[in-house]
Amino acid sequence: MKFMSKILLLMLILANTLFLSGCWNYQEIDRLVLVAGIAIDKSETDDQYLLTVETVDIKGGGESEMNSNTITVAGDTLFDAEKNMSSISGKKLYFAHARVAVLSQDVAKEGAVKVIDWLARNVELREDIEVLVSQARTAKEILETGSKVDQIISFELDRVLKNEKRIANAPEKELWKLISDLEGSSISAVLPAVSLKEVNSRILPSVMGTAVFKKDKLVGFLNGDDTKDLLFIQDKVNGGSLVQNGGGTNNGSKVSLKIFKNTTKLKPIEKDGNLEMAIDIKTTAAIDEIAGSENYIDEPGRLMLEKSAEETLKRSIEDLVKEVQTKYNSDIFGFGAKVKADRPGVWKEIGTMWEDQFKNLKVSVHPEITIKNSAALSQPIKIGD
Amino acid sequence: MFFRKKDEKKTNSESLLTDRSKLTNSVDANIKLFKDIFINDDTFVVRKFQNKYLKTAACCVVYLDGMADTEAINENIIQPILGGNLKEEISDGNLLEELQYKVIASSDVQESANINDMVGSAINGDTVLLVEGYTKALIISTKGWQTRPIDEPLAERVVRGPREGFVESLIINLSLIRRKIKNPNLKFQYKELGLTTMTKICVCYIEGLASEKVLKELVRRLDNIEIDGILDSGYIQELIKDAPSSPLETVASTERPDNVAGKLLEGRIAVVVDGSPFVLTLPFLFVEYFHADEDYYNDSLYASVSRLFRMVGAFVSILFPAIYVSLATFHQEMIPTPLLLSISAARHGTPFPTIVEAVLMGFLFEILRETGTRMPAPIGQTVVIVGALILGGAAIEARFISAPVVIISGLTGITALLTVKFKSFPIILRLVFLFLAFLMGLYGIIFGLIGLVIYLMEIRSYGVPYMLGTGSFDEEDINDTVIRVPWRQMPFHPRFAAVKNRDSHHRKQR
Repeated sequence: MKFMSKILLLMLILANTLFLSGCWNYQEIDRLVLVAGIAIDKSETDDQYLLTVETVDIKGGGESEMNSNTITVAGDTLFDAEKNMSSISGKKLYFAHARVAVLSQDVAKEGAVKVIDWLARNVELREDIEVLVSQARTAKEILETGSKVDQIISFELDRVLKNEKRIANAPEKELWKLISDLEGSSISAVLPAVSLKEVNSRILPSVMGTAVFKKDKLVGFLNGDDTKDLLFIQDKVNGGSLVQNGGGTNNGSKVSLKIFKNTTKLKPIEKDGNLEMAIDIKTTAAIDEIAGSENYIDEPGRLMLEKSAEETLKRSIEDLVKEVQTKYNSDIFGFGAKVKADRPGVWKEIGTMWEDQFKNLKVSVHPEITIKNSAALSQPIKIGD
Repeated sequence: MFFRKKDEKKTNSESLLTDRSKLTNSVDANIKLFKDIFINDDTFVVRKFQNKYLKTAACCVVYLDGMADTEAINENIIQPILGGNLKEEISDGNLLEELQYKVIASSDVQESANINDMVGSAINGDTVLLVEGYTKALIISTKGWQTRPIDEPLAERVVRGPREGFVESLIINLSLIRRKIKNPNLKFQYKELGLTTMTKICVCYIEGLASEKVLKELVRRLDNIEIDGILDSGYIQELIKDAPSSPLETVASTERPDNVAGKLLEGRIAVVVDGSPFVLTLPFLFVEYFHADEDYYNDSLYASVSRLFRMVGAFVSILFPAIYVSLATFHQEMIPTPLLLSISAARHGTPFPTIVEAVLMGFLFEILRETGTRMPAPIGQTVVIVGALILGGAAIEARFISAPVVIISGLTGITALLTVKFKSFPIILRLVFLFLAFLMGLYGIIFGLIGLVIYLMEIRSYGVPYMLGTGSFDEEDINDTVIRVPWRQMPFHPRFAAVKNRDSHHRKQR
């Protein structure tokens, strides 16, 4: 009897482990509709959200085909819209492989948190989904254009963003990072901007520039060059190029520098009781293109080029900081976070009024560019006399 | 069917030999005695003869046609006794002894009064010599049945290593082992098993190396066997193994003398069974499933890599279908997006759920494998073509089965052949895991793995834990398990088998 009751107890425990676990969602792959990307708009007529999903339509058979397809459905909330959607598509929408979420300007201006909550709370969606802001009129246009390389535009956008590390003209931001930026008081969020551009007489989405947020509301955009300066400050440049005049007589020729490696250090320093931010930029670059025959490769020319590049960089970064301070007054650079980390004592005093502090923060930029080589040519191309 | 109740068995064996324990003085009466025993046996041969000079030498040889070497009987028994100079050679003493010592030219002649011995010997191909006037007889070794020549073993081929394999003759098999280990400490102990077949078996071990505890236990288990007939060592393997209902072996079998010699040198014990080219060795550990003879003949690095591959192969063979089913039906988020898309495309329009596909293809492969084994060799090709091309290709083409499942089943089947010794184990486990994956996804697979590990840890082979050394990082525990270290670094016999004399290089202890 005792043995039997022991067995029964064991079986009960085992049975519980089976039924109390969370894995009961048996579903065959071919019954799922794969969602590749999401676009969120605000309805113009009433106070409803328009949820657009780009789905992957697969035609099986000997040679399978993938086609992009979009579905747009309205709902009072996003979840409501999602629910309405499954009554249209018939199959279950599967969000786990969605790669991008595009917010329209209207949605972003109203406050990103309202929609980001659903993105983050959804059990299927991943935290590493790329979030973008559409510079076009609506967000759904972006997904509806159709891609050039890939069949699925969302996957292409995702690849472009993953490449940004090497191009440095848009700040790639995954959902989890966006949430942590929004929650922090010492940094303001930025998102990459995506716009429509005409390429080869087709309208294609292009990821370029930055959407600037204050708290969770969109306040404006930065263009691609400004974005590069922003990434310089944030120490997120691992590639890309610098283009400027080489200097010398008549300002010289245009030179492209390819960035190999960059480290930026922010240093909050106190000067006469005032906080000042020093930005030390150390960049290794190579000459990638000389649009002329000046010699920027030998030492005097190279030093001159370095100096002029440093100056250009310094000026443009200072301009950007000034612009952001006056126009948006939003600490997208993370100066506050740096002060908080390096000088917690100071932050305690000024943290609550960081907005005012940031507006008047003095910034000094110290770029140091080292030119390592000149790619495949060791001499400028000389024109014969 | 082969088992009988104990008391039934006694009456059976007694009735076979009642009142025949005594020979009489008369050859004719004795012949009648034998004829009664071998009644209805037409291979039974009686040859009476008498020396014309020495009338007392009236003899009779009794043997079984086909079992005995008739040439040897003619030349070594009948001819000398009929010879003209027998009279001079024989003094007046005991004729039987004189014949044994002076006349019969055979290496093994024994005097016996026990008719059971005589019958047994005659059955084994010996010749019984009855002499007028004696109640005893001579048993002369004339075993001369035909055997298969020593061949390369079919089931365990090697690229590098000895190519001889065991045959069906016990004595030849023992000689094959003896030839590898030329040491008087190598012991052979005969036993007879099988109440009707009376099959000879032989327990071999190296004295001073093999564990006495294991040997005692083996002898006890052998003595407890009650069975009618033993036609192959498989009977014994099943009857003496631990965990009798398990699909796993706890007693190994091999066709290769070098394998047996190696096991004996490690302190294991071998059981050779007459009539079977498969020799049993024990104790057997789980990790030995992944060993091959060649591992010891090739360099250690290659051997270690091969062993690791076999392990990965077993893992793939057992778990891949289950992992596929669980990913495809529960955890689509874990599949990389491009792969998910291609699986989705492949599954598009196929009628069966993934689990049905997986089980069907699994069965199909096993059927093809079984057919391939049983088929006469020339037809085997047809099976391959029909199986691979028609069934596999057409099933995908017609969208009955999705391509990934066919790929997975193919992979599963091939990897299972990396460790052929496993036999039913991966087939059963694969189904169990498939079922668990179908019910609960990866969660179920993890459950199954936990259960499997507990089960494996529980098994013992002759008192030695089946998973011995698992989890140990002691150099000595792992040097010949999942890897094989160079011989130089393997100075000891394994701890579990060789109890007393562990220094395998016979060096002086430092």
